Amino acid sequence: MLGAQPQWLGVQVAWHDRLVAWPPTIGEPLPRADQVWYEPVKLEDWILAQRGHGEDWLRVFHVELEDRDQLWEAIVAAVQGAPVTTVRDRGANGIVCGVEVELTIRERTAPVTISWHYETEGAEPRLVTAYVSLYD
Amino acid sequence: MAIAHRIAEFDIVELTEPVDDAPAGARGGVLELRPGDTAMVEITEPPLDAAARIVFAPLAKLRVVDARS
Repeated sequence: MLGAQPQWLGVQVAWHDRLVAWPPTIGEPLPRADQVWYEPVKLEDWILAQRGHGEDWLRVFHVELEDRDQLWEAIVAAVQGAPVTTVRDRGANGIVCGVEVELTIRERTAPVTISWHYETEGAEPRLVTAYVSLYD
Repeated sequence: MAIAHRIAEFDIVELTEPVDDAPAGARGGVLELRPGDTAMVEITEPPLDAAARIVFAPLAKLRVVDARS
């Protein structure tokens, strides 16, 4: 459990008995990248929405709401083995990690930045946001 | 009589005080409401890195700039 006294172990034995690097470390692969998940509401009402990052997704990748499954598949594929680039420990609110990838959707490729949230030490990485990072 | 808008998911908000890596005045979207009157907010202005831009702000430190509905 993340909290006031997190255990900073190099590795831990996860529930599936595989060694999982913990905590997330810059330059190391995203822990449990094979178990990433998302909530449809964040993808639909923020990432692909006009009030969120939808305008850039549409302009750069020609991706709209109806393409959300394809976008998610591309994110999952791109994040496997991708190194963590930023980490913030938010105490009782978990850990947030950033990953930068080259994303390809159909025949378009561009740099994309993705934020992941670990609610607890044993949690799977949850998609928080993803945005095209052409101009960062 | 003015009616205060209750902060909702995907409202655009402004921080009235610094929170985590974000300064007062930073703006972004409410990604989720969490227990303890806290919101997960993605800061979009000013630009912050992928982890720093996700802050957990007490609702009392947020001002709604653009309500979703």
